[in-house]
Amino acid sequence: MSVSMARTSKSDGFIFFSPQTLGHVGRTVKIHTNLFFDFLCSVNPHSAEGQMVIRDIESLRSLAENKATAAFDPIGGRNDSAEHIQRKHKIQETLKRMATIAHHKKLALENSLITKNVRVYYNIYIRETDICPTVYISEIQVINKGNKEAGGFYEATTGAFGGKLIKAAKCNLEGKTVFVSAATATAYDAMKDAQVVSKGINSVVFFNPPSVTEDLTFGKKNRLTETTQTLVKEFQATLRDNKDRTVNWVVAGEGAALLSHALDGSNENLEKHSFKFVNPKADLSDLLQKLSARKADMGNDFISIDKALKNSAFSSMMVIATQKDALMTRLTNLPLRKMPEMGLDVNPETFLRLDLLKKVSDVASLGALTSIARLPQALEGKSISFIEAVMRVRTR
Amino acid sequence: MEFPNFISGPQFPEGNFVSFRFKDSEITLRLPIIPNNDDTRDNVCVERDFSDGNTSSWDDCLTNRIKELVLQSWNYMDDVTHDDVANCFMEVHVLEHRDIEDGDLRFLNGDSYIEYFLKLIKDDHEGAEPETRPGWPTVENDFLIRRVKKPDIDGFQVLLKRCYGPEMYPTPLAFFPLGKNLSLKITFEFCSLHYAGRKNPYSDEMLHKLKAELFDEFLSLVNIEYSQDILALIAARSEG
Repeated sequence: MSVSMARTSKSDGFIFFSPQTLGHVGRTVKIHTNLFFDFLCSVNPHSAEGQMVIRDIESLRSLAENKATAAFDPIGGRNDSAEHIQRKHKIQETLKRMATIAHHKKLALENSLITKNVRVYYNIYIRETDICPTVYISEIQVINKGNKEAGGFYEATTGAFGGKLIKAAKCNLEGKTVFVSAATATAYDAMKDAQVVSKGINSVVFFNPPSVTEDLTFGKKNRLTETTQTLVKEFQATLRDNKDRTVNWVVAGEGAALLSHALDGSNENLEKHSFKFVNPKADLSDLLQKLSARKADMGNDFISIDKALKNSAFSSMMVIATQKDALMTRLTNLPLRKMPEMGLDVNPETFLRLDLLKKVSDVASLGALTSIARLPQALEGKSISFIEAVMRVRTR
Repeated sequence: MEFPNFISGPQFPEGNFVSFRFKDSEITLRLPIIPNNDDTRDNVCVERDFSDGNTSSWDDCLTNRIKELVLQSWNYMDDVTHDDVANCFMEVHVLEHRDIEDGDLRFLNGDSYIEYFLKLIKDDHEGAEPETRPGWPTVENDFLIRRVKKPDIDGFQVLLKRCYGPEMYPTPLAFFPLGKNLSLKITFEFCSLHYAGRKNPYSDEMLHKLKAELFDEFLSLVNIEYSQDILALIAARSEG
């Protein structure tokens, strides 16, 4: 069987999943272009794990189950009369037709495939543009993994044999650098990220467990789960207790979104607190406004992308790209830090802020990133599969 | 080593040979080949030769100086479901003990080396909350210390609590002498992984048994060769 990619690729936002799923062997597998952003951020096609996810989804060619059909397999006892069996077949035939109609109305039973950190939901049916039953992937859920450690503040202590990580009930943060982690699998992972970012040992780490990702994904305004609410409350309490102390915060990934939620419930003056963001994943314009209103110190270079934290750099760049205009406006309007007189006509902070603006603009304007927002629409009708587009955007 | 049930992951005997040279010795490790994933780490110190004895660039760690040689993190997977079932976090450091004076040869004998270290570990735990769970490492049971046989000088492994969350298991650490005042430290963090809404098919007990076996296997592949001077001192000490 030969299927022309161009002929069938445009179908209500669905395109071929990969060059392996055109229908030459097994069922055709298509995916909705609106899932591009989620897939791009959660599956790295250049990693071993990402390749496994792609191969597993491709295996839907042969493994995809059509629950509606399976439910109506012939049934009959050995002693059933021919007439009885014929009647049963007739009933089944009617039910199958009803199910087929339901398929066409997209009401067929939904199936799902779970592989690694991804769950894909799919239906099997025939559309006008199809020549055979096709697997349509209509939703992707990202499932995070971790151990059972509680999130929150951990104190890293230096013993004779290296660091220890102890869950802190109450923290005095005077003069300390606190690392607020991105969502990581373990507290130990968070501590290692802290060391990578600060090139030294942070004394306090706020560990964000993987469960926060679902609540704190950029763009989603979900109600917070109880676990995340507890973390937000712990953060707020610590912020309140330390409002008059000098604290340096280094905030990574989803930690920025958690901070933003924590600031919602506090009006403390944060004059003595300085903030730096590494690979932030949050509504940054909104967050900067909140920090600015609380007089927090945001130095010259308070937003950076660190590729050493490889699990968060790419998705952070995507988040920055999608909010470029609002973020640039906010950065331009942020008050400059007062600098001591240096015999210059212009506050040197101006130059440093311009440098930051340029850096953020560069991140947001990377050729591939700016076109991502338009990609889902652009992909329709093109002779390129979903995975090929993902591979082009997500460079190594 | 054969992994139980359907578990798969990096095999130490198939790992890369990586050597580091020090003033009194040279070590060779079999480092696992880590798949390139967003949540794995594979950092191996590019500097391999420390034989000039200059440790000024190493990090200070109380009375010691410490240098990270290896930091690797990887997952073990269930071959049927493709779920990651456990995470391993391995660190290899070299410690310089600045309290050991030049003429002090206690590191050149397994017994005195272990005695010295055990006292340090106990001192480090002074004032710590006592552990009451049966079978867990305590000051009284010498942190479940076990000698690790090596051809010239034995090392040892202990179990220590490194991350104090309620669900955390103790971490195995191993120490080997690398000369008059250097030690090799290997830390092997291991935890089970859970996806939201999915149950890990392997029990904690089973995974922590696997952890012990994996660590033993890694240690068995650690090769330490001492310089001729040190070997002569070891021989003189054992004769004396």
